[in-house]
Amino acid sequence: MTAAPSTENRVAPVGRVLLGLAGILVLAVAVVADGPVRGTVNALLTLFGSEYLLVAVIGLVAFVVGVAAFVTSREAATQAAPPDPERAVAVPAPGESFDEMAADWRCLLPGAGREHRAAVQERLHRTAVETVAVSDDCARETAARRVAEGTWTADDVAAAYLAEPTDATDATDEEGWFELLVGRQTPTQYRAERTVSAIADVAGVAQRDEGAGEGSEEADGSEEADR
Amino acid sequence: MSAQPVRRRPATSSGTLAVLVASGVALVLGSGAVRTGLAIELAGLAGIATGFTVWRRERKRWSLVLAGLGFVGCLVGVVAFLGRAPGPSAAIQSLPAMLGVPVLAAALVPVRGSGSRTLVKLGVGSVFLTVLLAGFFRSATPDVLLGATAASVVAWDAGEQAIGLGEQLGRSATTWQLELVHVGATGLVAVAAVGGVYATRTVATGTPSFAGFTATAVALLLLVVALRP
Amino acid sequence: MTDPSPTHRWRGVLAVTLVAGGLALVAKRPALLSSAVVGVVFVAYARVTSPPSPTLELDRRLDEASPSHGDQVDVRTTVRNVGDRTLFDLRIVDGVPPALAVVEGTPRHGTVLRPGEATTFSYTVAARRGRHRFEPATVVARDVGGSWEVEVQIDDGTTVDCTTDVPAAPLRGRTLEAVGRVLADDSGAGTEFHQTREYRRGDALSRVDWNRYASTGDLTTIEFRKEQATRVILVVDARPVAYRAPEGDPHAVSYAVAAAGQLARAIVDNRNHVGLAAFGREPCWLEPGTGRNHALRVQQRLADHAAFGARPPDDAPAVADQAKALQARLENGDQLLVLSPLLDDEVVETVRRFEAEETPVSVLSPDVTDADGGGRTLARIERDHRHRTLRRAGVRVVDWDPERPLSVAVTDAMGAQQ
Repeated sequence: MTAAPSTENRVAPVGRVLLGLAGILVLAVAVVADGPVRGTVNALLTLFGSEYLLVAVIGLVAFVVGVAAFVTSREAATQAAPPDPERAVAVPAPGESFDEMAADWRCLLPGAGREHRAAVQERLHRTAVETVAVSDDCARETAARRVAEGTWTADDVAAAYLAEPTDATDATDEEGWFELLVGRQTPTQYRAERTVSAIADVAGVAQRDEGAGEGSEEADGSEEADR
Repeated sequence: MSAQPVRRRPATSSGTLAVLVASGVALVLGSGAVRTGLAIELAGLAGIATGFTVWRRERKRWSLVLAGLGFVGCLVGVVAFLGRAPGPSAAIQSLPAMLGVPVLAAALVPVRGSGSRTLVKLGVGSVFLTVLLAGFFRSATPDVLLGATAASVVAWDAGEQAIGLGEQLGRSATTWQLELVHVGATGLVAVAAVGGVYATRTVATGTPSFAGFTATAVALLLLVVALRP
Repeated sequence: MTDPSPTHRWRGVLAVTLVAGGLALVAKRPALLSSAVVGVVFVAYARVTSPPSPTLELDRRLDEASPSHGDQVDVRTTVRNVGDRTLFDLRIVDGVPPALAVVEGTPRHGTVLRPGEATTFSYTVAARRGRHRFEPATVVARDVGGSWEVEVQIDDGTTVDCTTDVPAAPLRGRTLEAVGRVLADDSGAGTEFHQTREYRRGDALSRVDWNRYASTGDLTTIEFRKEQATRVILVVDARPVAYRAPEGDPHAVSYAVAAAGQLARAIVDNRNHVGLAAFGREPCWLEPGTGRNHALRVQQRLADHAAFGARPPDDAPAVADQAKALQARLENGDQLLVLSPLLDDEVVETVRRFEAEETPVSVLSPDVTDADGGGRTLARIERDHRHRTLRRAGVRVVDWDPERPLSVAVTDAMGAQQ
């Protein structure tokens, strides 16, 4: 037995110590003094009736404890978990939180999801107004009016989504329901993505999945013009 | 070149050794036709393992053929064993080992997942059950029982070590020295245990008194539980 | 070194002992008793081994300590047992810099080490722009039977420096891009001629323009412009929201931290003073100073301080409070150089508030948006809007695409302004 400086084993549990002491005591008595042992065993023998029964009871106890040890041995196995340095530390991509917000299942709830839907719509609305104001070089009010009228984009879904107050378009068009039915997107997600695409078109930001990949340059260009 | 995530598969050498030792125990304790059935089953297992290994190297057709043949081999082994066992006790005795070795292999084959300690325990536990049954049916000599018990412990230790190494270091890491030393040490302890018991049994004659025997058994029971690792 | 912890992995042999022994007694099979004794021997084996106490030394070699962006760097790590006992079971996991990914081989290794013996393993990482410090290697040591486990961390502070020198920092002020130093306007005793004015009583005789007096008879005093260094505070935006990046890329904070180190060097090289602050999980403040040693101090702080940690924090105190604390430390004439990916409106608001308090602010913004559809495209558009808002407020904004060296972005931005 080792005296290891571990919190768990530095001080052995009382139960273990008692068990160990009892074991040593019985062994010592068995070796040194045959008399008392013989007396005890004979008393037990009269109690159990036969040698076999006495031994079998001891064996049964051992068997049961052994099976218990077998069953619990897996829970007891512990080992250190070293870090995983292979991959770069994982952080969310910029804008991922918006995607999560739009894909949130709570957006599907008819009444209670209103707040969630409104948050998505509000963020898109703000960006759309700003984008239109910049691209048309007009006042914020004019841009807001154009967004409300839906004349800022050719995309019907996006135009309708930002034109109405939240939940006015709850009766999603067929395409939206189709997207939902095939299990790809919630209506909010579908409309948000269409709207982002529409805003990106107006802003001149090429989306990577549309192939152009020159987004930053164009965006910077528009900014230079703005200054 | 893309990022290389750690592949947490049980270490190959220790895992293979565990399965081989467990198979050895099963073979030694089997008798007659049972032994033949076991041999066919083990060949089938080897076929499945090879099939999966080849799968990883993207030769899918060959791997499927091999794994399929291995599976058929396993089935043939079990059926042959069931049909031609010399008696019910022989069948009952070898059945746990016959099921346990594939379970152990499934826990350690580095194909998918990080292995399973539960399956290692069940697999080796089944093999050890065969050892106990062999003792119960008196179908093996005490020396064989002694060796089989020690070998079961070695198989379990190697299997657990394979999984632990896989979890902490993954299978791409070089670990053979460590595995060799670990399993070597366990093997030495096993040999020492077997040798010690064997020597004691040869030297010690005469039967102890019943009272002394009972007291010793109780004392050992208490001590072992107190010292549990 | 952590305390040794028991693995309990040998507990299963207890079952071997007790079940075999129990069956032997119940079924009267003495042969099985010897099986039980085998179990007892293994129980004893599990108890007699003592936990290892590893004393190890780490040595990391890079085939290229200053690689270019995208280069592959081979890392050779050597671990030596400097203790006096054999370590039977060492499991080493090297501390690859959090922003870098392993592209070949594995940073993990398992081995046995005799006293004085060493083991070496190697793997390849892909370099990304920035200064990347290796983290300590984690070593799990077990005794030969595996009953005890000890975890140790060993480090040698290796750094992969994937940055290039920057000629000057994008600051605010009239003269500074050309000369690279700020000349304060309050005239006094300096070295650079500023103007002459009529002599007033009390002016030092040494500053009277005697040539002019000789030719015209007017008594005038020469005023020199005092060459006064500007204090620039680098402010790294290390709030949780700045820890953003497309999959597999270093996040904006790691770019900002690397850029701050380069800019600090450029600022002191141009004889200005540089200080360091952060918006992040912990307050950070380094009093402005100048000279190469001070630039090293800034870089040290960037590498050590918890606020610039490579892993994202769970949360951070409100940025408004941090800005207030920073404002309180500023002196008149200080300017801020904020390094932020501009991924939320709060940082824009904060910058504008500093501007309103008459603290000139420049912003260097690493672009980590990828416009990859949906919210990711929205993030880019919103970031463009923030740039515009800041520029409209008079803030100087430098947009930095980390695929290009920082020096190029800074030079371009200066060229555009002149």
